[in-house]
Amino acid sequence: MDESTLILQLQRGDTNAYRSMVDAYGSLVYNTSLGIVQHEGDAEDVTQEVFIAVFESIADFKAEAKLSTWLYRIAVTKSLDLLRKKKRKKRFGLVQSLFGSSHEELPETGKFHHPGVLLENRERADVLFSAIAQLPENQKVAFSLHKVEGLSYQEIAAIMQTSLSSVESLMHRAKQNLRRFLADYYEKDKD
Amino acid sequence: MNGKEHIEKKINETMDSLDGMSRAVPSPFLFTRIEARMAATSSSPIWDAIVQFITRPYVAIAAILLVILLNTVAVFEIREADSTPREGSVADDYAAVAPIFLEEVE
Repeated sequence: MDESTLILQLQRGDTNAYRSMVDAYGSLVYNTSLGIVQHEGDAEDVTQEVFIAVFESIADFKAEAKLSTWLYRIAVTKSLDLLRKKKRKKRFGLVQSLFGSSHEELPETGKFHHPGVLLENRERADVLFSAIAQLPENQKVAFSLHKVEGLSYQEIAAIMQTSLSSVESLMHRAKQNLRRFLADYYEKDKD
Repeated sequence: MNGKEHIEKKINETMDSLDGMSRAVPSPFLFTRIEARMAATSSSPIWDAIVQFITRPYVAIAAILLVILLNTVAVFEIREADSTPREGSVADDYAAVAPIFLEEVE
């Protein structure tokens, strides 16, 4: 089924078209979200939210961008929203624990293992993911879309609604920052 | 290989560690879960719409202003009612009846 037919069927409210879309784009949304939130349960939640948002707003979709671009955009936005929410919760929990009013434990921030990484790279990839988590939002999104989803800079520019040169600059700064984080990590590891 | 070169090598290998990775796949029950979640959220669309409308900031602010306005009007109404001479008006009422009674006695 081609994209325009799928969109038309979705706009008509065809349940089979919904199922086809989830089957076709589920891994795209899930993998994108997983690269950013770095937690399988959270990525699953974000994926569900993305498709619910798509079902609710498909009538307004004007097909100015590709369906996949639109899905990437929603996945990125929802993933960043979730990270911000978690950060706020963590900060609030920290304040509460300082005043001794919270008995809840802070969420675990253990290492993340991406299931798609090659076995021989797993250990280093875990270190890289923990460094990616420390990047500023835009750099994290650009780097993750390029490395985890394998998108070109041109495609990333379309998703982030920015210019190609901005994406190049974001990637350059992301790589610089990552190298710095990794240098610190391996220096400490050596001691 | 000195320490710095060794670290540099490790960094390069780490930077390349995502090469050749495959996509992570969601649970096979993703569509069922989405359906269930949508059914749960759309169980009472009218109430959802009402709650959504009431909780909009401008509606809430307008409601608060309306309550303040009604209270202000009520306070002024009560003050006005208090300031009118009640005793006089009661006396007038009796005065209107009294002459008729006196005339009958004579």
